[in-house]
Amino acid sequence: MPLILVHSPKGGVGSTFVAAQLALHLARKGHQVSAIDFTFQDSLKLFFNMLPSQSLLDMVDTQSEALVVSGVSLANGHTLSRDPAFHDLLLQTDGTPFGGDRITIADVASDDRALKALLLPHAVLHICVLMPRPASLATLTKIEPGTPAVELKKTVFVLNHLDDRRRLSRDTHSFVRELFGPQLIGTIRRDEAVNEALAMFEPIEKFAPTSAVLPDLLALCGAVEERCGLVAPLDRLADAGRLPA
Amino acid sequence: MRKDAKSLLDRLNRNDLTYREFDDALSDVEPWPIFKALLGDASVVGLSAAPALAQGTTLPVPAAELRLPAQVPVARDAVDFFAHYASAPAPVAPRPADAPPTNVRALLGRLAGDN
Repeated sequence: MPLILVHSPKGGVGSTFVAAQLALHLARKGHQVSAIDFTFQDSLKLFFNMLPSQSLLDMVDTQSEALVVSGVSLANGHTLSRDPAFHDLLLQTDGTPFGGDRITIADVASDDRALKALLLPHAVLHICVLMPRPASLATLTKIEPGTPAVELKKTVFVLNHLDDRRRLSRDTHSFVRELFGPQLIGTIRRDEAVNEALAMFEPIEKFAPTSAVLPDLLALCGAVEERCGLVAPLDRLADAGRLPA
Repeated sequence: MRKDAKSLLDRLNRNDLTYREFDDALSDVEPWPIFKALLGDASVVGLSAAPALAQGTTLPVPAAELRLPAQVPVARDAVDFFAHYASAPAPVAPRPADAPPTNVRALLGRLAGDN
């Protein structure tokens, strides 16, 4: 099963948010999902309604068991990402550590380009989150050295914080859609309810069930499933007539 | 759900909102210079496409409407820049006695609404 890499060259654009929501969605569909926070910030856990003081399993700790929240197995890989033995493992060409039935979603910090480069060959998909801001758009020149952004085979783009009331935001949407075509697999509208839900340690679905973000996330996750060729166990059962579709 | 959203839904006698996205026609897109800059960048669109796009062959925005600002002149005085740092006195960290006292308890009290 695949590794899905979430990395953007610009920080603060919502990569961790997208990684978390994708993990939650896939888990709801019946997949076995792990989400690994490779960042020093350790903020992925907040999207699983954990407290800042709570710790995820450190992946170098072989004695403890991973924490499972909402069906997603959570771990922190920041220390591991600094381990030369892990680098050697990723550099091996005769296999991948991301095998088995489990989908792994890796949240990689924007400035950790070395780790991104090590993980990319193992990934079935690289999700790059953008925002309709010049500083975010400018980083399109730095997605993958040596390969133009529009020619990247594994990379897809998500435009986050879309606000149709703002002219630059609207125009950026049109521009990015035209530039990337099917590489733009989703847009997520801006809604302060996302932050408010985080501050309440509540899922968005519970805190703001009518948020415009929710249908956007659903569409995005569906696009990722389609792109990765993922057939959820629940869908398989429905197709076999054992569950109502 | 926020109270104002619930109030609006109640007045509309609805349980949910329906969202509709209105796409901008490409001809309505403002000719932001950053779009032109990206379309002329080989690391975004590739070497073969960059010049053509920059000339407006398949631009989402008419090329004639796009105006890039003149290149910002960049001074190449890095040596002087670092020399300035070398000659500058090292910053002195304030001694604890100089630093304004932080009353954490009072701060927490304010956050908790205590007066």
